[in-house]
Amino acid sequence: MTRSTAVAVPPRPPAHDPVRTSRVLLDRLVVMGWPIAVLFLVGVLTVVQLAAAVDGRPAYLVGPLEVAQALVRDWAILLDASTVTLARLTAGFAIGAFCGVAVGLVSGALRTVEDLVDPVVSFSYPLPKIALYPIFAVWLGFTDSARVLVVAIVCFYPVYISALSGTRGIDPGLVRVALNAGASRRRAFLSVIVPAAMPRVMVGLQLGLAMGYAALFGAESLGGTSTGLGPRIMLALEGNPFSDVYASFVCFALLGVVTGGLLRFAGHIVTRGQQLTAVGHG
Amino acid sequence: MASHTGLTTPRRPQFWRMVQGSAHRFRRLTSFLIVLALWQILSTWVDDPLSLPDPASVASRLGTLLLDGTLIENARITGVRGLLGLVLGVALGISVALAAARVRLIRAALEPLLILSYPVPRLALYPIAIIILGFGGPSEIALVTIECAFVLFFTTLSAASSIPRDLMWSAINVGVGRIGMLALTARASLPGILAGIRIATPVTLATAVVAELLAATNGLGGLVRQYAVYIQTADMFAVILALGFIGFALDRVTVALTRAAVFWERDVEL
Repeated sequence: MTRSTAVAVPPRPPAHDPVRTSRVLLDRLVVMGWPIAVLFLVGVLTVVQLAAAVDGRPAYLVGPLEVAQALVRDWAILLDASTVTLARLTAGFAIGAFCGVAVGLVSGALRTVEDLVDPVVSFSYPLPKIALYPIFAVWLGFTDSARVLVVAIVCFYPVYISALSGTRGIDPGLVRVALNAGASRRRAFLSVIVPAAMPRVMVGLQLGLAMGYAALFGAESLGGTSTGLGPRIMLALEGNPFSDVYASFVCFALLGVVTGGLLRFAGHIVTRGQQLTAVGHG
Repeated sequence: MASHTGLTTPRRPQFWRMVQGSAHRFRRLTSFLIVLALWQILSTWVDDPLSLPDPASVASRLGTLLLDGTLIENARITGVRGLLGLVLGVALGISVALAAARVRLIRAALEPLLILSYPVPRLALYPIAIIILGFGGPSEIALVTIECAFVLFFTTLSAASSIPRDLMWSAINVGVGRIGMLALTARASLPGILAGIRIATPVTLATAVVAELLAATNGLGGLVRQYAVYIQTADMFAVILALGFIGFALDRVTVALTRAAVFWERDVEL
């Protein structure tokens, strides 16, 4: 083979095209996703901060920096309150979610159980369960037990519904394969139906968590307690400085975001190996 | 179908299925009767009408409240606020979601934030809304709007993202412009949007009632609060029962409406 006599030519430096470069950069950022969200958030906060510096602004318009100051100043009190709220939520969510998954999966497996439980659940589903809190307060007093009970009941519903729905929306072929391979009905249930129902169960758990936080805030704010983040936020109505109120809200938000993220992470572990995302992008 | 499995085909399958269907419905009805029976037993055992009134007194209070118009008037108040909030929230949620579905930049900016903030209760902002908009209707409508907007945003975005690519490409190939593509996306997401409205309806009722409970305004939630404060337990139970019926009826109506609107689909799956 003859040697090529071509001379290596150094690559030409790319023509400086600002429009194309910025478009490529933007594209890359969009694909990554979160940088745009962060930029957007920073932009919104900046606008709020600037608006809060204007004289004659309404009292409820507080700049993020002032809220951050309040956060740092009151961190011990806020940590205390957050712990109380988190404890109540965890207790209620654990009880409600566990019952929801158990009853939901069993209802999916046994028609009789479903016939007994489902009508009552379906009927009471649109009822706002927080309306039951006054009744529980009459029975149990304005104690943590009443609040945890409300949270547990609120969390039960979406978890039960999604667990039941999860046992239904499974490809029947999967179950038939297991039965054909000689699995007993109980084994087919535990090894095929339960794992296949998990994606929907995780969605239900997320819903339950969100509704649980709302119910807990309602229960804490309906009176009878001075601990927790709820009462601190309600103090806005009593003329409390708004920076304190927003600081408490930020703590509440942090609780929600962190627990939501933990739940999502747990969901990824539980549904590992399953193909979940919808195909097709409009 | 061949019966190689060795199972015999049942005699008169239609009759057997009818019997099974009746037994099934009977069991479902029984569950309500069991709850009623348990309630009666418990209330007799507790024997304190201020803690647990018996079903009969609750039923009679329910009848009284219906007849003297209290329930209807307050249901109207809650209903109007809820409906307004639902309409506004649906419109807001759908618009933002469709914008996010068509413009990637908007989606990249909003979706992560909204996903992260989903477990944060919008209810916690209600006191601020009261300060800004005042007690009563406007702040409650604002809260309901935000809740419904969240639900509709996620369902619409999910539906718009699941549109088959071929459909979109065919439209582009035919020369459909930007507005046409937006209309196409909206039309194709309609089943998902209607499913979202079905989810949002109980959320509307619950949020409106909670708002009224917290702010002690009028409406059904305000009624519950009022009866709770004066420990009129039977009345409280009656209103809660009425809330249950209303919610149930609303759900049935919404299902019927959405089924009629999306008539080409079999069972709308949530």
